[in-house]
Amino acid sequence: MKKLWARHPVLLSTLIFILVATLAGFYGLSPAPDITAIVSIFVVTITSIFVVSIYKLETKNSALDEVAQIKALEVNRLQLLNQRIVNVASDGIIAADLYDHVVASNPAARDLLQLSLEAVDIFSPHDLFHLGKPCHPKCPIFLAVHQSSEDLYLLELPVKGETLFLDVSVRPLDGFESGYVVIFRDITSQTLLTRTKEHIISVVSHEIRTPLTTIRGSLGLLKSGLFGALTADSKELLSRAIENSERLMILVNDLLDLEKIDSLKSKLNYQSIFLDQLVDQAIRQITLLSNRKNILVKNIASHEEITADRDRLLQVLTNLLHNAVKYSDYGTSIEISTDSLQDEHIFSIQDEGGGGESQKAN
Amino acid sequence: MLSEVDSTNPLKILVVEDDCDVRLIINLSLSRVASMDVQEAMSGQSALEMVEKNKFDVVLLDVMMPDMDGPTTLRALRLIPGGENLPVIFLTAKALPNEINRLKNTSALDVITKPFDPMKLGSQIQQILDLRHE
Repeated sequence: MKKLWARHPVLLSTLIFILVATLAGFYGLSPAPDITAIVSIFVVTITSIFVVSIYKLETKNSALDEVAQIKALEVNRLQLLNQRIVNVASDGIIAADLYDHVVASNPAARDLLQLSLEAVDIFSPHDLFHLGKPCHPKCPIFLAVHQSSEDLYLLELPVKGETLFLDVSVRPLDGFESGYVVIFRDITSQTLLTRTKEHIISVVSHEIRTPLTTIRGSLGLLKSGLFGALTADSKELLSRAIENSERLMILVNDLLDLEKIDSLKSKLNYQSIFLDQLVDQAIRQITLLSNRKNILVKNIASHEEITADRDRLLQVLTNLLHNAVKYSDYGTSIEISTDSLQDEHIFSIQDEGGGGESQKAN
Repeated sequence: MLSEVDSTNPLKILVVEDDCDVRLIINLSLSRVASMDVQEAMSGQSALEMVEKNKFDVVLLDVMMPDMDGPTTLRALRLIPGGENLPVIFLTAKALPNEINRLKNTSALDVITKPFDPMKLGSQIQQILDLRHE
């Protein structure tokens, strides 16, 4: 009630005026008010208040309409922007409901799968990404819809006589059990390039290894003396030839390692190892060469336990030691020591020629 | 365990290798160093014929051969009389881990990679055969 007076001061003033006029008439202070005039004043006041209220309401409504229009334009603009983003995306995007009906698709999806806009409406993503096989509990679409899983998987897809390699991810759409979005990227050229590279490396490795087998085998058999006695010089020459054929083999293996690292297939196998024991193992690998050159290889590495890939580390140490021995003079010595700084371990290989080398292992 | 190789009862081995140079090295290595009784086949097909006609203790089988490669020869070998349980060791110049793993996942006993040390090839084969019986 209080609010009504506050909102309509004209109504309040009119009622006070009528009350005062009536009381003044009643006590004889003024002529008695004409009841018709009072009613007329009251009706006029109420009508004016009503008209003013309607006017105010109209003004408010049109302001609200304006705001609503601006908001609708904004929503529309955002929708168009989203649509444009989806349309220009190079990844294929297909959204489907729980019944595998496509509810949206972008041009990239239709281009990659070579489907027309009409064809995409009657196509089932589930069938396509299953390669015609029935659905199974490990199906990424099933997992995305029922367990909200977001795994990425590689799909080899035959499309009109050509094989397409796709990186596919499936995401649940609009919450649990509502539908799904399949996002796929064409990685055909990268996959074929990687496969070609692997094939070339495999063939090159094979082509080098085969003649190397004959060279290494012939030298080894000749050196054994089974096919006739050899002079000391002949034995020495054969030893060097064997040693270098083995170096060539290591280079071929390094080539394979590079390929492994490049394709990120090489996983490091971490294990617990002692620095001094690892150095002992590396020294044993080059004993043949060090004995031949009468080189003393001293292991002064600490007996510290570290976590590292034994084979990789051994390969590095053996390569460094092999080089150190190879370029050291007859009858000299080589020292291998270690230094540890928190998580960093440094192997130092020092020969008498001043050409020390070091390798870090974390 | 198989008996150690000796001159009176040498291990009878069939070497299947298309490269004549490599075949010569293997033959000399196994016959002269390891004192084995070595027979040679230059293709998968001739290996199958030889296994049908002769008894071998082990087959050393090259992987990359024209016409019939090592794995194909191995599969065919398992279907002929005398080849069902014959120990086979692959010899390969392939070295990628996935290639080696593929070969190890066959019915072959093991894989020896090229190049090999001719002074140790015989003992390598013997070791693989011994491990099979442990």
